[in-house]
Amino acid sequence: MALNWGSTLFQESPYLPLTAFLGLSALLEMLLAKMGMTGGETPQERKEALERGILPERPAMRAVYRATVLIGLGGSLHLVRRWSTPPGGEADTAHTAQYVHIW
Amino acid sequence: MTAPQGLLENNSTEAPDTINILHRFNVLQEIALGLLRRASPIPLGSPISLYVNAVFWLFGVSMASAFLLATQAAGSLWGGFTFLALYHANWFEMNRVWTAPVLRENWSIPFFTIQLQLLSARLAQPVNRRALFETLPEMLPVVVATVACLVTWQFAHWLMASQLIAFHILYGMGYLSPKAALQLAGMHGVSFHIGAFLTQIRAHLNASSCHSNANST
Repeated sequence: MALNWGSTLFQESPYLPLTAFLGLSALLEMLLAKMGMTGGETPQERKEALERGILPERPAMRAVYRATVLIGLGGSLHLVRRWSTPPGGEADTAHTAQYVHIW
Repeated sequence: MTAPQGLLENNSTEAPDTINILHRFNVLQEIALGLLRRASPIPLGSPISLYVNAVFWLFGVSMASAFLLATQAAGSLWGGFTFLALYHANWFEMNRVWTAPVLRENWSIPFFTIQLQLLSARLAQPVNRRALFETLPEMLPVVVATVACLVTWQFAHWLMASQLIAFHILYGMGYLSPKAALQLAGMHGVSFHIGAFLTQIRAHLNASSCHSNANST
């Protein structure tokens, strides 16, 4: 069974990347929380985190953290897409060349 | 020419090319209605009246879910009534179902409204204390509504992308816990793949025949 996801009706939309970023970012945060590397959500967790030397999570810090992860994921996907465009391929060879030049 | 053949190898819509209508356009809803009409033991009237009735009934259901959504959001019935009053005062600006029932959006937007209502009811409940897999059965109706929305309208994935941008903002600002965000992302991921599969059924069936052709030539 060879389904060609790239040629579906959804190919031009940011729908799937946005879904993947949200899922990956949430997964990463849950993983970090499990490893005890975040400030915790309940007062008890916050207290324990503080005892381990981790500052209680502040909403602004959390927003910055989540935004950073999302931008990182978006940037990586953007680079992968540019790099994986074949030379002389359909899209943006000029852009690919530019990236190769920068790197 | 049989009906399936007329859909799968159609050479009149984009003549001289032969196209697969199922793959090219969002017509799964018409096929479902056609099957219902053929399989139904009671007569359902002429095809066109069945079609128009189905569109209007579906829109009615979506109005009901929008009423529930407004009631939920306001926390009182007045929210729902205010929504209905405003919607009816601006009827022709709000939708095109009355003037053009055959538009794809008239099939998709009702499912989007239903999805929004189910999602907001879901988000109003606390999710943190329960394991993710425990909440999965509750997400099933949301998945069904999302898939129905995606496969019936060619622009529905932009609608869903805008919903995901809203989720990203809610998540970034701390209104969504990581667990809720993961659940929503999973719901969209599953719906996307089911939708992509449904719009590619013919391509999937073709994959084996292409392969055997390649072997025989």
